[in-house]
Order: sequence, then structure tokens, then C-alpha cells
Amino acid sequence: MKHDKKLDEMLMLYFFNELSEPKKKAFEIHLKECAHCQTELSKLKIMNSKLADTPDKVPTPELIEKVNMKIMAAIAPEPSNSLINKITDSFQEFYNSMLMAFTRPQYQFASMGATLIIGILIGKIWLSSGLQNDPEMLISLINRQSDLTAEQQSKFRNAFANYMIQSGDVELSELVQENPTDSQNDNMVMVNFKVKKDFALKGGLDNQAIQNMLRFSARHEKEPARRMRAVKLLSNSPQNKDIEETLIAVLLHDENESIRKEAMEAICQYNDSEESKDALKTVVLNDTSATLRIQAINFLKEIGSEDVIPIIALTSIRDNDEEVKNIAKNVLEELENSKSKE
Amino acid sequence: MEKEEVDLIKRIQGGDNMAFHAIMNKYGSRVMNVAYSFAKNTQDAEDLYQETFIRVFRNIKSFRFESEFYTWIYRILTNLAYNQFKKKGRMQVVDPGENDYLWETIPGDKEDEADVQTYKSAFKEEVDNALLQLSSQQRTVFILKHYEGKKIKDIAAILDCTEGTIKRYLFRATRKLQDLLHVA
Repeated sequence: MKHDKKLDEMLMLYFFNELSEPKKKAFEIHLKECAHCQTELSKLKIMNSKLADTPDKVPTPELIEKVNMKIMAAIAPEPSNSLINKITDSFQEFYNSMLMAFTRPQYQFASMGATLIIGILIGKIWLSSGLQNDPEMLISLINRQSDLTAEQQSKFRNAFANYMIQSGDVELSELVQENPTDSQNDNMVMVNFKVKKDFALKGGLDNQAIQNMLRFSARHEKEPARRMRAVKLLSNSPQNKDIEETLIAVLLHDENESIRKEAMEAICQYNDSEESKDALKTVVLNDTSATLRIQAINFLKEIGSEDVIPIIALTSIRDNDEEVKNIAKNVLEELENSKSKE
Repeated sequence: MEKEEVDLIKRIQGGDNMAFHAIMNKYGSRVMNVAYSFAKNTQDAEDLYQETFIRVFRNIKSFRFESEFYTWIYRILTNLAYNQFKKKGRMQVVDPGENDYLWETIPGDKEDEADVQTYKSAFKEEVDNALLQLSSQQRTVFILKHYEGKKIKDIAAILDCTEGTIKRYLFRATRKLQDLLHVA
């Protein structure tokens, strides 16, 4: 077969192993007879050997990990609008404003924004009612800020510690050297300190910072008495969705029956709310306290909408407490009677 | 696709960044090797690797489990390389990157004498320079074919071109390399 230009393409495809089996066989027959193709193929093979025979580089696992960490930092969630997160961008400014906030008289917090206030309201807090909290609450708050990176938390703690040391009213309670046998880490120490100085914030129950602090307190304080006080204060606060959510959370999750009861009474002020109604239904079906279930049935009776009937009907059959069952039956009859009158 | 991998991807789609770290650990070496074969220097390879995974992360919600996950990453990497080269025109030879010490050089043959190694090392430079003189399209197609062993129809699918276009780039790249490496 005589060589023509179309065969150049065949040669390339043959070299790159892209010919189908029949075409490959046909080309190999041509190749045996064509000196031009043989020369070109040998040149391609020489090029191939040059390309293949060069030393190359491969990444080490350490490199991959290092670059991966960079990527993880790059894809980290954008900071939210909360002022706490701005400490990364303007930490000195934050620190100065924090110092100012602590050293100014009361009522000076407003300009700093509610979220930041939550973060920096350290120490004891007095409301007109006398609610008190302790410094652990701040650490707890910082730890609960899932948006804060470890670095931000560390900066926050440092700022707090610096301030407390400047104020001169701290007591070192523990000084620990971590891994004293590890020569690379021999400068790492951990200092625990107690804060003796009290801080005060006064404000009305319409103050959002106060409300936020109370909401946190109602959910997370260890002392039941403190949680109870927070719930009572929240029930006197102007109604809003955030407070309602907190009260519902207390009602459904607090382990203390009296606190749940207080929360339920507060929730009943939110007459038009579907969320509150659903919470009451949940109490009727699930709460461990018969007293609370009865109270919730009565609240639902007052609401009186049709969708509460199946819940009360179910309770009248299924509840394991006879008294609850009977009350549910009576309420059910009353509701059905009033419905038939309509 | 393995169930474990499907779970990881779903977790990332649901906003779990740590699951993404696991994915990078799984495919990191493969992706970096391919990135290096495109970039031919460590600094650009690392940039390409980072940009690839950031795009994978940003677009992961559009991954519908219709292909292997690595294929999807590979496609993003290849197109990124293709467009990056296109943007830069000719790739520049750059100084060693700050992480150069974290790369291992693989000698062609351990049995070689030192002077042969030196010769090969010098030759590698010649090959890299030759590759850098190809157009972005020629270079990408040639690397995909020669180093990655892809079929022409697969390259066409990855780069969203016709097979005819890919053949044209491949043949021109080959001719040019023969010329540059003095085997014409």
C-alpha cells in the first residue's frame, strides 16, 4: 500500500492506541510495507521514551495535610453578623470597647449591640429583681457559641483575663504546666483564676440584652432556683417570638416540674400562637406530671379549637392516670356539647 | 460508589465541613499528582489543587451521584487547568514554592549512576519546557492522553469538545513536542 497523508492520522491513532481492532490490523499490514510510517512510528516511540523516562515529583502526606488545612480555613463558614465574631477582624477595637464598657457607668452598653453584651456580661448581674449570675456563665456562653473558632474563643478568653488582671480583683486558683516532660511544649501553662469582682447591668425587661441573658439563664443555669427566677422574669417581659421559643423549650425539656409549670403559665399568655398550642398538646400527651397534663388540658379547653379535640380524646382513652382520663373525658364532652350548640 | 463515600458526600451537602476534610484525605494524593502533571511545578500544582477542592466544595450540592465522585472532581480539576492555562497563555516556569521540601522527587531508575541521574534531571527540564510551550488546549489534551491514558472520546466529554477537535490538538501537540525534543 502506498503512503498517503490520510495515513498520518491513522499512524497517530495507532500510536495512541485509539484504533478499533479491524482498523488496527489493517494498519499493521500497511506498516510492514511502508518505510515512511515505520520511521514516523519509531520517532514517536523515541519521543514517548523521553517523556516517560524523566524523574518526577510526588506530594508527601505532610504536604497534602498542610494544603488541606488551608482549604478547610478557606471554606470555613463566613462570620455571622454577630458582634462577637467581629473580634477576629478588629480585635483591638473590640478589646478597647470592652474595657470601656466595663469601666463606664451603667446604661452604657446599648451602643455595643446585644450579642456582644451577652458575651461580655461577665460576673454577677443584678436586675431590679435581684437576679444574680456568676462568671462561669460567660465561659459557658463562649463555649456554647458554635460560630466561634477555637482561635476566637482563645482571644476572647485572653481579653477577659487581661481585663480581669488590670482590674486587680482576681485570685489565681490553679497554675498548671502542660506536658512538663515534653521539651517542645515547655512554655505551655494553663492558669485558672477566680473572679471576685462583680459587674452590674441594670435595665428594663424590654432591654434585649437583658432578655437574652434571661433566656440563656432559663435554659442553661444549673441551679433550679435561678432558672425559675429567669422564667418568671421572662413571663413578665414584653411578648416576642424569642422569649416564646425559650419558654416552650423550658416547658418541654426542663427536668423540674415547678419550672415547667411556670413556663406553661407564661406560654398561655401567647393565645394566638400555634407553636404554644402545639407545646401544650405535647405536654398533654407526654409530660410525666399528671398535674401538668391536667393543667394543659384545661388550657387547651380554653383555647377550644377543633384541633385540640383529638388530643383530648386520645388522652381520655390512653392516659395512665385515672384522674387525667376523667378530666379529659369531661373536657371532651364539654367541647363536643359547645360544638353541637354552634 | 461505596456507602461510606455516599454518606460523606451527603454530610457535606448538609453542611458538615469535617466530612469534606475526610474526602480531601481520601483523594488528596491522586488529585495533587494530576494537578502536578498539568502544572509541572509544585507551586502551581498546589494552587490548582486548592482551587479544585474549593470548587468541589462550593458545587457539591449539584453533585447528583450520577458518576463516580472522583470522576466529578477530576472533571473540575481538568477544566480548571484548561481554563487557567488558557488565561495565562503560556505557563511560566516559576521558582520553587515554599512547600517544595514537602515534595519527593522520584528518580527514573534507582540503579542509575549519579551522572545518569543528573542527565535525566536535566532532561526533565527540557521536557517540561517543551510542554510549557504548547498552547493551553494542546497541552491539556496531550497530558490527558499521554500521562493520564484517557481515550479521545473521554477527553472530548471532559472538555466538552468534539472528538475531531481533540484529535487536532493531540496531533499538533505531538508534532510540536517531536520538534522541541529534537526527534522530528
